[in-house]
Amino acid sequence: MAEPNGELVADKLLTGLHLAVLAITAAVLPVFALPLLAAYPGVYRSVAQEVVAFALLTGTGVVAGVRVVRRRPLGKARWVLVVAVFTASVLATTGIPATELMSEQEWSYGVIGWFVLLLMVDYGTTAPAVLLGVHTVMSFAQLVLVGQGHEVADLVVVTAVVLGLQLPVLAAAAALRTLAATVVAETDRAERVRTADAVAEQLHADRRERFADLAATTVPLLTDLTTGRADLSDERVRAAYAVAAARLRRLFAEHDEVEDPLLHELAACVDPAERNGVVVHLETCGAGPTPPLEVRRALTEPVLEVVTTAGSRARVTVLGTPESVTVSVVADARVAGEGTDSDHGITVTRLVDGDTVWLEATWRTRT
Amino acid sequence: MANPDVTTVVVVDDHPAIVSGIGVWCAAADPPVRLVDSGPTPLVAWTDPGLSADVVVFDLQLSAGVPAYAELRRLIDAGRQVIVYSMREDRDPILSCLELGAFAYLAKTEGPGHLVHAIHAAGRGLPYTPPSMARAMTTDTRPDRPRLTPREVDVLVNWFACESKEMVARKLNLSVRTVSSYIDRVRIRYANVGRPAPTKAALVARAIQDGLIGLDEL
Repeated sequence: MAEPNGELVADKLLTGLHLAVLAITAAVLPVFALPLLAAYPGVYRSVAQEVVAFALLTGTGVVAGVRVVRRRPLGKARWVLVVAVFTASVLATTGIPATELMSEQEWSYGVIGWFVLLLMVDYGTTAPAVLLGVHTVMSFAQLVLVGQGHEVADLVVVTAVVLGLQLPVLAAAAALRTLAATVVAETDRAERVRTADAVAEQLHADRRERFADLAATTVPLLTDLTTGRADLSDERVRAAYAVAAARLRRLFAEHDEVEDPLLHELAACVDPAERNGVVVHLETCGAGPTPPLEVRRALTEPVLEVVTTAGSRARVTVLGTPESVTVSVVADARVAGEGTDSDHGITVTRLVDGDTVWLEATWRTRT
Repeated sequence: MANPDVTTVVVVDDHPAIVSGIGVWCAAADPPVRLVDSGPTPLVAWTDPGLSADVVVFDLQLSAGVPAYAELRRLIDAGRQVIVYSMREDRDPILSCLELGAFAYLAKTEGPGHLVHAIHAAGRGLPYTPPSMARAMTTDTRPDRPRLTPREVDVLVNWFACESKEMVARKLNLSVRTVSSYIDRVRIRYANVGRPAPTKAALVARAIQDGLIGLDEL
């Protein structure tokens, strides 16, 4: 089963919270504020100011709401809307006589905070908290400045109720973000572990496969060597060991990162022969495609057998054309006989002239 | 004193071991080749007895790292048959030497067979293409190169791989003579392009005279 993507989960949770804040804000304005505003319009010093404030908040709610529902970030509009919300607050609290500031008719006090959350909850924890604080401090200052200092205790109670509802939302958002960060880190870790597992499994499989190859070819030779069953005075037995040694060198070379793997592996194949005093010329002519590993093995195998059993000299050439690669070897060696055979898309031709053998293995990209 | 059957050679090479080695190969050559003089600078080819030698074997890398193209060119312009004998076997110096009009280019990794063959051929004014030169020709990408037919490329590449015209002939179901003529005709076409040189003209003239190549094929 695929692990859920950490960032996606966090995103979904925060969007959910944002939608919840939108729902509360959308409900508070018509359900809570509108009836208060409409009940006793005569109380207000300026009904027009109150209506403009209400309209500003409604507009803000609509713009922000659309963005939230469409999962679009607020971007620069965020700060314009914040200014609109605070303007609405100033309009609403100055449109009512000072003596009525703590009455039910001051509808805006409990509403502004929700708008701040609607605009800021996805922005972090500090910024919305500061804005809520600014609103609260402004409200207390206003109350004192207009000479209603004796009502501060009432405002403390109202503030406690309002912030008691709004601050937990901020706390929840902060907790979600922390949780999301943990989930992301954990998913990343799990992903790394899975990748490492897959790599290790592949390596293990590679090694098993290689060992399976060696078990059939090299291991019996080593067993014969340790039990003394191998007759090293027999030239053919020595040749079998030399071929196995060359195959091992090729196997090691297959795992090197080089520009021309075929040439690199051929160099490894001829190395034991060179150590045995055979003069080997390894050359290339023309550039061809790079064959896959299996093909390279099939191309180098017959060459390896000839070079390893060469008496004194071997000329190994790689001939490339845009659609074929040929590995050719001319050496003073023995082969079973002349002929041509094809297997797995590789054509091998053998020619014998006196003590000279010419073997060619050709791979074509198109057959 | 001069025996018309003996090809005379002067060697310009600053490695005494190379000079001694060529001396031994020449002494064992059949028909005979006589090494008349040797020295580390082209001066030996401009003074007697080197001046009258039929063939100059010339090491391209005389002074460290800088190919001696200017000295090579002076020898060629004087009508000398020059076999360039060099450590380098990559394409570009080979093609440059052919362009200048060298008779042949041999890599020092190529054995006595090729050098002695080349000396004999040079003495007679007949083309000879060692395997490394065949490779340079088949991988030539210069815009003004002679165009080779697929069959010619096939023969040259097989010659490079196998170094035995007999085996190439058997593999491609051709006669040895046909294999040789494919290789030689490519060589003649190379002599017929680029900078004019007396040695190149002589090679082409001889090939036409021998019926190796027709005027219309050039």
